[in-house]
Amino acid sequence: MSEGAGPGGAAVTRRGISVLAVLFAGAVGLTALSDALGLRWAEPQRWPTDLLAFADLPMPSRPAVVIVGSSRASMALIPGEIERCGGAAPPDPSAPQVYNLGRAYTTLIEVEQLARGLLSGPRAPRVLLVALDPEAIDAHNPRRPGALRGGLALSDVPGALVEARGLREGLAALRALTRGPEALLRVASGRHRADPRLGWLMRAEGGGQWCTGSPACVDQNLDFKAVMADSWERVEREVLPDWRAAQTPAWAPGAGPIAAAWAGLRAWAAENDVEIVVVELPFSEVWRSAAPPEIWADYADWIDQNVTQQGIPLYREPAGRKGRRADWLDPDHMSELGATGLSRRVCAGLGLPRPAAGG
Amino acid sequence: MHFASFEFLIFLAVAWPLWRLLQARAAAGLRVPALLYLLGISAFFYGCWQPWYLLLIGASTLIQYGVGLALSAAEDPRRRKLWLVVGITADLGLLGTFKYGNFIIENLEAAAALAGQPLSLPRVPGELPVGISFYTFQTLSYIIDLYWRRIERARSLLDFAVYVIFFPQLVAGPIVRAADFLPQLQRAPLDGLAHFGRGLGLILWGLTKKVALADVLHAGVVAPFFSDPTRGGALDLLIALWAANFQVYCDFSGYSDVAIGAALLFGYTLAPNFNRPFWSTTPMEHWRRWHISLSTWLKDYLYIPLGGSRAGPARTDLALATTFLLGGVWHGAGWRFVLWGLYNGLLLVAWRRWGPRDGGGRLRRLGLMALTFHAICLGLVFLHVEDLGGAGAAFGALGRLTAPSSAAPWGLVALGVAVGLHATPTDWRERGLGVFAAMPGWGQAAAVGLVGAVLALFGEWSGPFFYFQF
Repeated sequence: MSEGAGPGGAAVTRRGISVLAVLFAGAVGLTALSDALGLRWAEPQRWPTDLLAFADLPMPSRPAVVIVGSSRASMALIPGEIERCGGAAPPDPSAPQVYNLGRAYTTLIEVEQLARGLLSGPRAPRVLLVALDPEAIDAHNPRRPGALRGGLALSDVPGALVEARGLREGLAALRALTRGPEALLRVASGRHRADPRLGWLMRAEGGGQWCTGSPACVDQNLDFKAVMADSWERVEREVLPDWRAAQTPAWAPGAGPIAAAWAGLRAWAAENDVEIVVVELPFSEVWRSAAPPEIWADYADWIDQNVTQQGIPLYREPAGRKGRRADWLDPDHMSELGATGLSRRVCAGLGLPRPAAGG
Repeated sequence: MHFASFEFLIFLAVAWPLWRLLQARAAAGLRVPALLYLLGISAFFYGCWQPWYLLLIGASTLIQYGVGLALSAAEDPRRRKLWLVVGITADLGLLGTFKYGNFIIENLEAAAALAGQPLSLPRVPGELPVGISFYTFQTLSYIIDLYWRRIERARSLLDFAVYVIFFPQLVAGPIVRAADFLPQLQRAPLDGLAHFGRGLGLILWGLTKKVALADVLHAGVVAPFFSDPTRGGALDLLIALWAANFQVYCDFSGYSDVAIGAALLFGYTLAPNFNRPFWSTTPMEHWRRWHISLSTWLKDYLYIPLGGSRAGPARTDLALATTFLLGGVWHGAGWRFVLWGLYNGLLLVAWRRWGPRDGGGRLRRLGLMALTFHAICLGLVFLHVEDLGGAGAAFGALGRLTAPSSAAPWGLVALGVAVGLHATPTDWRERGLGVFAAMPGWGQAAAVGLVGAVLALFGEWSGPFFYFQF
């Protein structure tokens, strides 16, 4: 006989299964509810709810530029610098015209999901700036599960589960089912309005991780630098040693889902009258040398075939341009100084922001 | 896959229903499939960190099981001692190599450089394997207890392997004794709605303490001060130390609650690891109530063999200081752990010799509690700084009498809540768990969902459990 407290055996099994069933049904129901309430973008991502702040913004006219890409993009391009390109004064200083929606671990698959899910109607920008890095075109990017759970609509979950390559991607897809309870609690807590990094930065400065041009930005940047103070050492210690081993074996540039996402993104752009431009993100020498030469060669080939030959405007740093250590927060994320310079070169190189038609 | 993660909740949700099928068989006497299943899911849980960790724990398990067989078969005292030495050497060798190897090498290189003879020695590859300090202490206690003939050897390699790798206690304890756990594997696992409800309730309670209190205390009070102690004053240091003490308490007692709750879901009991330590009126009492499984381990296998309190005051002092010094080193490979251990050892020695005696009226007891609490707090400085320079900077804040400015208001709220929870009588928690266990299934599911959502809400502050670094 089993030693017990109260009814045991089948009663305990029934209780456990019923708890699991109620949990599952509750999570899916609350996710559907939160999506219906327009809270899909209060997602459990690295910088939660700044997309919700973007979705909440009144948008009297289409944004001039929206930047998409990975965390590198969020730190490399400063919306305010692009908006003030060449010293031009923005038309309405209280309403940003350029936004940075860079998300950690984003590939082109998440870029397409973001474009189709969030950048429609008045939020469809005149220019979508796709900030590219090699991992963004890697269909087997091992870091993708970190982004996956944030970008999936409820209806995408079964497909993502079927397509999951391994346990991590499967769990990440399942995690999307729990977006609802998390989003409702997140919004109820009001953090996306109360926390400067989650609300003010998007509303006042167009998002991203750096901003320039105001005393508030100076404080914001100082806070961010304090948070990331040991970033270079941490990446060298924890990321670089495993990067080659994690990234290289299954490297699949532009394969299947990436090709479909790129085609889908271009179709979305055509449907919404959006011009796509591409920026090839720079890397520090430390990071460049960590990745095998064949990855860089494949990456260059992909850009040549899918961007240059397609007539899509491309910004690439001049050959031989040597960055300084001070341009980098860590080996693959730019500092405020580096991002300021790059943003100015990008806007000059691509002629951003483009004037609105008739304006 | 740490306890405060979505992956762990999914792991439990998959592993537990399948276990129920086998638990019924185990209750009917078919132990082997159930134990094989526990071994399999525990290996999966542990392998999720790094698969190669399984090689280490597998080797340790095989060696110590073999030593256990030899010890229980040998009658000759010298042969028994030889096997004991083999077992201890193997365990301490494993721990020494992977936990202290690089620390020793770096200090050798530093010493050689000081002597003008620069050295460059190869490093031990890989990071510190999670849980190695805990499972080596478990296997050590097994062979020492066998040597002392306090326990019977494990009935089979499978029993012993489950004892070592059972996932709830594997990565950060409680350090389970073979005498407590192996007999549980011989009988049917506990079963019953009350056990299920209590197990689930303890998991939720522990996760809440970890995510909603410990991590918030860290982000709101501890980290703002210790990230740059030169900016704060004496009051900032004081508040940061209070918060640090409650942070570690909420973190590790929360972890222990999850471990005990998860084990109970599978029908096994683990002993409590904390007993409201901040009610202690002496540092000695504090360590009897804090991380009880480690304190009793150190007492039984180190302090008493070193002479304990039976060999005169000087020998007792030496045993105390040595035990705490080694206890500090057990927590980590670094000079700050050495200093922390030494501080606590000397504190105990000094308190025993010259400290105020326990007892007296309520007011005196309150004063002693406050004194003990702050004495323990001071030692925590060493755990929250990188080096001696950092400790100097932190203590330097004592010289600045400025208004406190480093703690965030919500961090102070969390501190207040943590103090209140600690002050809550133990039987209130037991009553609360009883109420939770009696709730209907949908109510328990709603509580799990709520805690899961809170966990996600605070998720970006949530780091690994504090004791994982040990």
